[in-house]
Amino acid sequence: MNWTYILSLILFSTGLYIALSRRNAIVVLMGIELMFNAAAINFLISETEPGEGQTMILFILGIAAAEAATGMAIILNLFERFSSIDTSDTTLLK
Amino acid sequence: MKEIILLFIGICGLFTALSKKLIYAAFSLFLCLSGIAALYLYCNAELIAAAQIILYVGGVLVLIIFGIMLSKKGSGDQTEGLLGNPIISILLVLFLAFILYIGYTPEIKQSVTTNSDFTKNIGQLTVTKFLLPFELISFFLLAALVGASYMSRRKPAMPRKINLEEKK
Repeated sequence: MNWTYILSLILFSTGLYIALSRRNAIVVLMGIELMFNAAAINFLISETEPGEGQTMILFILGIAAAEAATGMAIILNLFERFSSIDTSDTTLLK
Repeated sequence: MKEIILLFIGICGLFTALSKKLIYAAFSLFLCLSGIAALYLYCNAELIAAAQIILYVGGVLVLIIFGIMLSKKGSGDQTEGLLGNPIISILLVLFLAFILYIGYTPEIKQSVTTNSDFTKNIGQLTVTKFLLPFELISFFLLAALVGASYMSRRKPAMPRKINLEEKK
């Protein structure tokens, strides 16, 4: 039994739980970061050729940086418009 | 040694989910990401560990803590009802992990991660096999950053609507 794999499973489920259950938009962003990291660990332990999985982790890091920047810009706009970052307050499309 | 690192990462990740205060969640996420960098170092992946510390711990976490300063005190950072119960949420997380476990189990080659000199391989792979994704990700990052700075800029005051009837 590979414990690193189990850890990546638990981290992914924790991130999914955070992203689904929390109502604060920043915490949702943090959950998505956790899911990215779980996927990165999975790439590290299951690479077939040396260095291939780590190259994928580099790409994941790039995507995570772009996601964080865009997400914070969206949250900033949300705060300007609704003066709160609670995701249950944004009911314009309801 | 490796088990201690794994336990540390897991506990910090679970504490991120369970902590009631936003800043505690952010700092336990910080510890979790640092632990993952330690795990990369343990698997002889020095380049990835450095990138993890620079990008996640230095960049993303600072961005998140800036975002926490925006939020009002106690603005929806608690989960109400059944999902807020720590025992139920831990059971839910473990159940989700179990579903993922029975759904997909990759072939894990333990021997690969004990090789050394990964950095040379990564450098060669990014200019041969993964050249197109590498270029795409640079363009993607540029577009995302320009878009983020455009979205979060201070907007100029809206020009006042000229009231035509008033002029008459």
